Amino acid sequence: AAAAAAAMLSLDFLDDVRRMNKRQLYYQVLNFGMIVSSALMIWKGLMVVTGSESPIVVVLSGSMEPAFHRGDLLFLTNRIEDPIRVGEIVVFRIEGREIPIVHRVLKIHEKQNGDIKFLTKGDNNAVDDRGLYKQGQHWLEKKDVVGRARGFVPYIGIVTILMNDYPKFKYAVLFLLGLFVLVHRE
Amino acid sequence: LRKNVEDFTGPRERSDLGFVTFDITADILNGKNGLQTFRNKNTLIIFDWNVKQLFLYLSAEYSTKNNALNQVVLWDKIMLRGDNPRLSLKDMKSKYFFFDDGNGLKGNRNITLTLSWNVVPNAGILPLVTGSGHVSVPFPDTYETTKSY
Repeated sequence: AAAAAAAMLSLDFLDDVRRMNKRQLYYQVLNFGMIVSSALMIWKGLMVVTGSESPIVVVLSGSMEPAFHRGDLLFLTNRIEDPIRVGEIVVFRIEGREIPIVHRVLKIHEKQNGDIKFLTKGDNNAVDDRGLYKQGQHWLEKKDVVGRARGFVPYIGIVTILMNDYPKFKYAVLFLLGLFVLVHRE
Repeated sequence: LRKNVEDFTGPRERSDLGFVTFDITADILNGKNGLQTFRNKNTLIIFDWNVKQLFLYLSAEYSTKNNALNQVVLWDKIMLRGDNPRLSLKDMKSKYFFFDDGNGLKGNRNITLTLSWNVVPNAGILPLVTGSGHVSVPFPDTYETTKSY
């Protein structure tokens, strides 16, 4: 891997890599592993604190404009103590589909025991989401919810969308990142 | 915040459909400076530098035999920063069909209408605020078979 990397770069980097002895290389690899583990820990920690399986999501469509646009980043919580109420912005998944949808709750019917069924609609859509749900499905339930949007930052998620739409971009980013960590000497 | 309503229910075999017409008069004030934050229980909300828009919605809340809690959004509106903060809407019809899950609207004496809004900032927290002042609406005991809506 070091040789392949060296082949792509100028001689300065080449010299740097050759100068590193084995121990330093192992150290850098461990360093890299630490960074990856820390990132994973932070993500898992967020999952626990928010109660959501995906505490940060990127808005993928324009169905919630002008509030949210493609590329906006949403911060979610999914605590059981927070009941689902109309007006809330929920991120949900339709059974059998992978892509989460960000829309607003339009209607809820909740039973005494806490069982709830609800209907959603995108702010920018003319009709509610029944057409989006599974065939024969008229309502969403708690189990379909990934989380409720509690905060957001605009634009930042564009990077994820770019990486998805242009895989070459994703590989380039990962490649450069890996290279940087391996070659950089503290 | 004041609302007046008239209403009648429509006949439906499986689910009650309610018709509500309403007036909304609301004062959502513009802030003088950007440093004030809004207070929850008052209707004072400030369009400060970090408020991109308000998503207003009128919701009806009630209880039925079938369901302990029902909430239905009847009408919503997006109020962008710079829009007139004073609402004075008369004789509005509900934007969305007011279907119950079952037949819980007939004779239901206590439907509460509340105006709430979602503050959408330029970046940051997304709070839901309920306006002060709400109206209780009773539905009649019989269905109307003819209505000009």
